[in-house]
Amino acid sequence: MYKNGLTYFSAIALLFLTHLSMLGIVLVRGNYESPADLMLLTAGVLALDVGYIIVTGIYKQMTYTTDFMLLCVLGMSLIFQSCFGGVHLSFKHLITCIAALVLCQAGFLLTRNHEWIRTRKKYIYIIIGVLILSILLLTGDRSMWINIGSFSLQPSEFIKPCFILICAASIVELHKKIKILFFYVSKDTLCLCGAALVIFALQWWCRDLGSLPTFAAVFACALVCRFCYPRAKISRTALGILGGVAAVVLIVAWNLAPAYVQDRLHVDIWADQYGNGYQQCQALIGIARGGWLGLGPGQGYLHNVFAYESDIVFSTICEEWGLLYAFLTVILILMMLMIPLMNPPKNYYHAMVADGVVAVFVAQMALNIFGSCNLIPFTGVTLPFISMGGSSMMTCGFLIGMLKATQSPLFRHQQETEQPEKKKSRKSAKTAKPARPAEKEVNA
Amino acid sequence: MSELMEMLASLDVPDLVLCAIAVVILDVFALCVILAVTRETKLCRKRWQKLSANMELRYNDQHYPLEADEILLGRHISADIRFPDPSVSRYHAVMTVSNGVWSITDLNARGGTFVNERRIHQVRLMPGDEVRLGNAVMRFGRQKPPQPKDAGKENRHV
Amino acid sequence: MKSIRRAQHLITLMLLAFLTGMGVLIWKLQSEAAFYISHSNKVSLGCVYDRNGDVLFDPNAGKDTYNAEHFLDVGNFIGDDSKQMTNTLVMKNKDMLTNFSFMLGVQENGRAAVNTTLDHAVNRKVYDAFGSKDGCAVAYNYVTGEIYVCLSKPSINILNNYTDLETLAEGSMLCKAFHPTVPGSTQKIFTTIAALEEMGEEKLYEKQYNCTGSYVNKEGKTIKCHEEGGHGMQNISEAFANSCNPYFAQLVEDPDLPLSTIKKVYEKLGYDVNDSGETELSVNGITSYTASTTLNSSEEFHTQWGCMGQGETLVSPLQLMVWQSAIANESGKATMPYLIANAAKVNGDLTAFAKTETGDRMFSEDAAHAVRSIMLENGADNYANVLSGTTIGVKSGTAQIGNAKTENSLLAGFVDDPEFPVAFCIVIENRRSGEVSTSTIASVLLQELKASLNE
Repeated sequence: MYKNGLTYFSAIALLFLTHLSMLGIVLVRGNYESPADLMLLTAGVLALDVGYIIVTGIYKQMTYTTDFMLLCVLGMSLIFQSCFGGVHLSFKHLITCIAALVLCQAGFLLTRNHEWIRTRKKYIYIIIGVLILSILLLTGDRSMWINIGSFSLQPSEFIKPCFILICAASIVELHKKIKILFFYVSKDTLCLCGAALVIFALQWWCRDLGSLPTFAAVFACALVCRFCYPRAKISRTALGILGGVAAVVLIVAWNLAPAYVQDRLHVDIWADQYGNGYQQCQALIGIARGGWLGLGPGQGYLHNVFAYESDIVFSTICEEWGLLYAFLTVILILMMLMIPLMNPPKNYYHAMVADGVVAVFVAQMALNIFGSCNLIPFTGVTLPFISMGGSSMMTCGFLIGMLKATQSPLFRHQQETEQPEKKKSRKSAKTAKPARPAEKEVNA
Repeated sequence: MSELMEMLASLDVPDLVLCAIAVVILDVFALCVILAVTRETKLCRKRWQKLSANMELRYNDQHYPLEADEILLGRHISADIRFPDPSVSRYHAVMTVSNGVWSITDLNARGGTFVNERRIHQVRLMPGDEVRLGNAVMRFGRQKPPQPKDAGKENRHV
Repeated sequence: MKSIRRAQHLITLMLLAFLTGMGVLIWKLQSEAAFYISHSNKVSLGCVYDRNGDVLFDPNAGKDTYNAEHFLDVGNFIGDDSKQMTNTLVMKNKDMLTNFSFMLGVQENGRAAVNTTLDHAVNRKVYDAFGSKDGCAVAYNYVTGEIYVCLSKPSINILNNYTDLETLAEGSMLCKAFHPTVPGSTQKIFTTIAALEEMGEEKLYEKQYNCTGSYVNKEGKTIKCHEEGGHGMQNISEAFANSCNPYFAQLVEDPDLPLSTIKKVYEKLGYDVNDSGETELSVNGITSYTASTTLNSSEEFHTQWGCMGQGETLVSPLQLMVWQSAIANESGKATMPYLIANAAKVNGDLTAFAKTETGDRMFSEDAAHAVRSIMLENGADNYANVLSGTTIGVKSGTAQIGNAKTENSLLAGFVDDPEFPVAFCIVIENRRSGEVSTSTIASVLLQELKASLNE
């Protein structure tokens, strides 16, 4: 926080400016009844910003950029959600935003020490088991929601971070168990595959086909890292060319595919505009109506359509704020995921965690945005951080916490090395001084 | 281009200015965050150099800087540092770091792991130690100061 | 290290894949937005104009701004955006008419428009020429494909805002040019083509059959001729002009003309023979019925009857007209009709210019040439007054509807004039003798059209 003081200060200032400029758009272009509504919204957003920045100041971290971006996205999300169909602060969304931020810290603290979290793999399996049981026992018939009073929880969301953790743990462990690997059998891989199969079966049984690709993406990442070691000789340009060729082949195959395959994949929603295709048709019309610059916050029509705040939220934002701003919001979320590329983790476990988090986010964003815009079948997945919904927000917060942990990791302590020193330590006096005082509070 | 001009003409000026300002601020924020990340990266590297004591392995004139806290040595292509030598096992040994002190642990490799010609299971490494996996001999030592960046890039292709 | 870089590569790959998807999405939204907005309820549409700038559709039309019957003749063809009719030009091309662009959003005063090839004044005169009779007429340029005239009577006056739906006559809300009708003797053109394809011109002219007023076929059923006294011995040209049923029954029965050839020619034309499958014909999105027939055996009464355009044979007048182009051009390939000449974008820039398209080969050039001269001979002998100074190639037809209770009168043909290349098809429903004839309407159509085009 101190060495980058100036950069951090300007980032925080710009964060406030970003939110204020959005509120300025609401002020001028927005649809609100009384200025009090707008004041309340401003107060809510600023309180969220200030509060979290103070809280992050308490924890000593190595990196803060993830926090800033998360805060920026959440503030934007709060403004988006509060403006749909008229400006009024959405308290529900404010609370879920706070919950997401709290869980972000929780995720960070739990996973920053990879040694500690790795050795607690058993507990994670137990948590997944409990969540699966809760889905089987507590939810209604073939549903994925647990209703407690007026709240409804979606336990399958919470399985996502757990699944990432066990994937990462299993992949990392593989390197140690060479003897078992020699026979191409590994206890960890078997456990992982078993867990994955159970989860997939459960998703299928619940008809929660939207989450299925998300888990599949995480699992695919794990498998790719487990089995397909890209040869060191293959350079990035070669990979790029291969990717290009694959894309061309896919396009050609798509064009040559028999008509019935294309029909299956590309349902004509316009033929059934007021039936099954209603949501998607309205979403696309909404985007078209918004154009590049949008109609203005609260001026849209899509808030009359079912799931405007969750499944087709991208279109609702496009309609009110314009495709340009919606696109930039998506880019901001992508940048959050890009941080591990710029600042590589120093640990394989954390690298795998980052992989899993990116896989979840990319899969969910693709399913939501491309699904609601009729590029791929519409499944009804939430858009991370933007969609309304407690379970989704909390899970996404936790995932970003995990991503943050890959940036500010804790490394193992000196006392873990039990072997006696062989030579007199010439240099350890220099480096052995405790790296950071905050390291111990994690295990507490 | 004519469409753009018409758009400018047809929109209310305050609307357009506001949208532009909001977009620009968002972009500047993104740029600022990128700047912050690059600074953090530098800081993290410094911290890492402190933590890992800036060490490297030298093998056949190749310099391998140690950039992760667990490094797998072996013949398999997935190993972090690969030795295409038949006497080296697929997964031969793993190097770990803790507060600037590196240790090497043998993974029950057939060829055995030797430090200064003593067969070991797990041992701390000191700068200048000679590490031998099977017939592959390498030297553990400090990185040369001007090299860290270039060495990292060069070795990517190894 | 390598393991970490591997993970980073994977992240890069995923992010790149997603960004590519976003790129595709934005491109798609940008290019298809007008189509989306055309499905919206809150859409501002432009006008449709005819070839001379006359308005054919105006979203804001009212009886105070237009003559009360201004849109009557094109009501069920150009249509409107009320969604009461779906197979109309406006409904099928709404995205071209929308005053919208992704940059500008919805523009209430945009300049989006569709310019058609129709001639509204001529269309109206032909509509009026039908008098009290119902039917349809369609005409187009067989060289370029521009549709000049297309009307269907009874029609609907869209200015009445569908308040008179209950009093409307049946068939008012569909354009009969695109709907099935029994072709009657006009079908003999294509049976003749099949015979020409099989035998060639010389051999076909050698085939002479006797007509005694009726003919008992090999199945034992009687095929009557409209001339009770019979036509005597005729060749193809005479039988064509006389529209002699016994001649054609004997021609179909003749072992020199296998049924498979007839089937093949019909299918190439686009017929759905014995449910062999449909080939779509549409004009700027307005879909036409696919011709269909059932052919079982050369000696069967129904098959012979079908080859003379009665019984189960059905075609749309549009198809009948389009097939004339393949004969008139002597190419055996149809010129595809179109209605939209070009469209104006919201800022007034013209786009979507029409191109002349030619269909696949349907029959040989020799057959086209031969049947063309037969039709021209018929026209010269019997229809010389239709268009003074110019020969037209025609075939008339009388179609029996509903057990011969009513008879539809048809006329399909083309003008033999490179300066005025028009093919047409006219149907008058339930015509009795003494009433307005198809040749009268053809005369009005061609003369008015020629005058209008020469202006």
